Amino acid sequence: MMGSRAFLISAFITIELAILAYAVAAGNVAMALLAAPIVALGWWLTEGPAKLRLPKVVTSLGVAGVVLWGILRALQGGVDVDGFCIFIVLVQLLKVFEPKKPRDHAQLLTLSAFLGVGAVLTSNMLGFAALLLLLVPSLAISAMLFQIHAVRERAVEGGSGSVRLAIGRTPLAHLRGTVGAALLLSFMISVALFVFMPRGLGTQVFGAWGNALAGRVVGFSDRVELGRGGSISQSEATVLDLRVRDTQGNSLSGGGRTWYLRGAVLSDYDPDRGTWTAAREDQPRPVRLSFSLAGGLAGHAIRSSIPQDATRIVQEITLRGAPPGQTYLFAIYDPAFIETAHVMTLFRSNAEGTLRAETGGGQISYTITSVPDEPTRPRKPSPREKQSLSPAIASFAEDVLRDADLEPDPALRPLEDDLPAARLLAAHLRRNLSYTLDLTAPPPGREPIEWFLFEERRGHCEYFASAHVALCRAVGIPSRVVTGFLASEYSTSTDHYDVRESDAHAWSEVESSPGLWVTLDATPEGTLRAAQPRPTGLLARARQLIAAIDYAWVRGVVGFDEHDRSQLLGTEPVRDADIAARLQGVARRMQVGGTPLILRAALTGALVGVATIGVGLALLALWRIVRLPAIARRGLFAPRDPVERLARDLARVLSRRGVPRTPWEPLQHHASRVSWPDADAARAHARLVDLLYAARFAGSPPGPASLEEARRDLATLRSAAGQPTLGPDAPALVA
Amino acid sequence: MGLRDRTIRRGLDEDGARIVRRQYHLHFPGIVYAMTTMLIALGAFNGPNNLLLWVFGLGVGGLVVSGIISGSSLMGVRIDRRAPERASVGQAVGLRYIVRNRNRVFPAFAMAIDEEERPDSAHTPSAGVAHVGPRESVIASTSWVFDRRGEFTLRRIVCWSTFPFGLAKKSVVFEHTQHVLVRPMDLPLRPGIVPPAYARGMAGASATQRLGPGDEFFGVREYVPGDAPRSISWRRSAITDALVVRQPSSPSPRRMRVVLDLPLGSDDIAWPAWAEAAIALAGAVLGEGERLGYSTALDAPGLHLPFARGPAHRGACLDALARLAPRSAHLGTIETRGASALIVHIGRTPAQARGAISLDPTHPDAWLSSRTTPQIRELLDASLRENVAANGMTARVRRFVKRDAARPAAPVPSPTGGRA
Repeated sequence: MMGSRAFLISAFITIELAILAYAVAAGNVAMALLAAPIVALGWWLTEGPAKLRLPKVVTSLGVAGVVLWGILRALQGGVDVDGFCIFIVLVQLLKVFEPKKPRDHAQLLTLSAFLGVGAVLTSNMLGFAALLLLLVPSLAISAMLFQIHAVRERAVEGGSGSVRLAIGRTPLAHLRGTVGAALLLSFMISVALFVFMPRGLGTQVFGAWGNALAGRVVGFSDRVELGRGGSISQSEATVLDLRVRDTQGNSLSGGGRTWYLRGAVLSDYDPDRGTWTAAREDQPRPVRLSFSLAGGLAGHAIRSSIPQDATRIVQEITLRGAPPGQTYLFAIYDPAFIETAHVMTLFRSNAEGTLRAETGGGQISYTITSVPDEPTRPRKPSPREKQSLSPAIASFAEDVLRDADLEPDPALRPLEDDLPAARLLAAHLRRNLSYTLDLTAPPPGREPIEWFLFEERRGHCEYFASAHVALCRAVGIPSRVVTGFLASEYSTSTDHYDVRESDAHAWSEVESSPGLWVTLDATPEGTLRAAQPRPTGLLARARQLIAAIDYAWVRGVVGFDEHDRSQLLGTEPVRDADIAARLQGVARRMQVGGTPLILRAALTGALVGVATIGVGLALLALWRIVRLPAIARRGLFAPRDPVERLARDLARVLSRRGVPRTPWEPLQHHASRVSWPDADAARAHARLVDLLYAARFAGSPPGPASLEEARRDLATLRSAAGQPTLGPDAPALVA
Repeated sequence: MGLRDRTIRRGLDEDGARIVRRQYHLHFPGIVYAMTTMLIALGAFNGPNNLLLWVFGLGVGGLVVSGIISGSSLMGVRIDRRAPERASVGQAVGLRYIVRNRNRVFPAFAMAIDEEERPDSAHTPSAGVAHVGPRESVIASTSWVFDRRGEFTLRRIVCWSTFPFGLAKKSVVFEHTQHVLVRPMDLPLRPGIVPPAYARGMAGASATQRLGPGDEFFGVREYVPGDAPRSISWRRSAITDALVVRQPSSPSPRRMRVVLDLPLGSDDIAWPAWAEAAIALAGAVLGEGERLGYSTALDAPGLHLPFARGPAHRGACLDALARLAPRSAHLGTIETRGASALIVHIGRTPAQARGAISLDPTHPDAWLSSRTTPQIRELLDASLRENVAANGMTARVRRFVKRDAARPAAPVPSPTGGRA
């Protein structure tokens, strides 16, 4: 199994894995469904018994066509990773159908490696990573088997065809050991590089290479359109990871607690279109903080004048796939402080208490500290005026409040009654209207909120939030719609919330006191969960396990940044400014110190080099002295020889019997000196000696049955070894 | 260690090859790999893509592992060569390499074994070793087909490997000098080109003056009990009044002198291409004569082998033909006295003795058997065409042939030598 057949199988698996990995990374279902079977077909036709191969000229023409296509695509849209990878896949699809020499196999394997790199530039999802974990060993094994295959082909090339490669004993065991050792060593080196390499040294000076997860649907929108029909997305794709703690590091997650992750705050409603958008007065004037972090971890205070004793909540968030450009940085409360290692420019909206960041897309990790009980900003209260969409809505809201003995008129109602009134309205909606994921568009000309409240009486979270805000405003309570995510799926093993696309949610915020906005959710909680059922039982556990692995992958590998690195190594984060300063320092010292300093540095380097070589030589000498007898006798990777083991065990038994064998004494002669208490033991000894002689000197290794019998004989001898010899006539082995 | 290994070790210890040098080579795939890894490193540092950084780490790891494995696995490898002392042009000859891995830990994989010196244009594939375990020995073999006669010296064995990933090429060169004498190609002749040694009309020509088991009459003697009744000469018995029996004489093989008439040459001036064909033809005629029962002798410029028979004589003739080199002197006077029956005259000068047969090597169709293998035929044609290809002019060779026939002292220098 170490010949060409093994290589062909391995190479086929590698090519398939590479194509599949890229298809998964790019989310290209068509490629996964078409390319992989085509490769399988091509491989079977060309390398199978049929040996049907396209003429080389045909495939060469095809490759030329693909190259032309690649050039045209590059001229039109520039060079991009997707185009490069598709080009590789097309070339592979053509080349699998041609007659292959070792050079062609090498090209296919090289293309697979390039495709793997292209896939890495395209995605860093867990599913792709799992395929990558299969692809890398497969590539390594294929490369190793290819070397053997190439040597064989070289020997056979032009020969009589009867050339066979010389091959030693136990090649598969040695190959397995070598593959394992090579992979382990490569993996260890890669892990060391991964951990020790400072992050953020380059600041995309060569532009963005690839776009990991770019364009992935987040399931969140900063615009609510009530008039649309359709259905709410139920995608289970993870959008972000959330971990909540206090400033002492104590977890605030779990225990059935859910968190509302604020994204967009929508204050303006257009009744004609039924759309909620951000407040117009805030949108054109975002507070630009010019917050550009050039490499390394950095923190920035978003809000000043926070009391020292105020309660703070720390939210560690990882956005899995932010689109390039501006994206919302979700947070539970109004952000007061942010830490991140990513290059970004922040935009702050004081009125909304939201943060947006301009990034290159992909995965973004950040930590936000919020102060829940602190008003967003000290300012004058929002006007408590009735803003009714329609008389029906106003009448409806007033009736609800009157029924609860609350004053509907804001001018007469005390400020502290605003929040109970808003809660009452929310409770009324939860109680009397039902939740559904199906979206039915309102009849033309109808105002969507009114239609929802009085006719349809069922809808999704956006309807509930919109209706609640409309009712609140109808009775003069300042309120607004907020869209974001509801984090409820908690993983105890990793202490984090797994927030999925289907967790996108809309709710309302009510200003309870000047600048202090309180979250209220009018959506029926029970019916929400019933409409979005979570799997239970074994499926739920599996889902949790996958989510935990995914989180560990994202936090530990994909999101491993300079902050994590410095924490792991217990060092200060490296910044590019530090490196520049260090280099400048070295240069300055060289200038000041002149030639003697340079010579001293060179001498020190040489001494370190000599010392390293000396230590290496000493270790080598030690190795030669010690020679690691056990390993040296049988090789590091070779399986233990059963005959050798039998001989060793027999020597031990005889030593226990009180007749140790001197190294130069023949086995047969030694056996003749041993006397046994019974004839069975003597016969067992004789059989064992015969077997060892046959194996050692007659070149006939024992079969499994003989070995089994030998082991039984050895057990007999072991039991007899401690028994005394009965007398001078006790049976002894006659040589 | 098994019995086979011990035997191999003994063989190695007797005359093992000496390591000349170890070397890492700049290898194209390795350069491509290194450049790709650098590019990945650039991408990893350029942007925050941890997965790319990990791939870069794997790339560096692969490079390091490749260096360690390929270096350490070849570190303990020792190779010895077993080559035959004789070979023939156009016939596959086996070379065997005893590969021993003295390393106690690392097995060695995917090693190619080449000879540093190889005959030009000869078919000399590599030997290959798929695997040899620690402290283990294997035998790798390959077959060479020489396309030139002469003495070829095998000096250095190059063992190289690109295992495990094909990134680093490491080689070890062993010194082990051995000589292979490549004899002329074995050409099958047409039946009848060399007449049978005892052809009709030659009765009595092979009788000797010694008693023996032949058919010719030697004498008579008195009958002794035990003599076969058929051997009794009744007429003579009647005359002498005593039983006498006939005694046959010892048969004597007929003699064939092969005269190889070659043009002038020297160390600097090679023979023309047809000379190689002529030498091969001489070898074939000698072999055929041996098979037909002739005692053969060989005359060539600077070479004279007396009449003898048997495999040793034939081998000596072929060895002499293998070593035959261009000389600045013509064949002297052709000695015909010992050749009692036949002179096969190979060359273009006319036969000078009665019963001589002249064979023209430039027209192989006249004497080559139809059973000739395509490979041999191709080699023969190639050797005849070689001057044509080298000079680019067929006519020139023809002119040379004519001129040389008329005036043999004017050889045409050839860029290709007659020596292997």
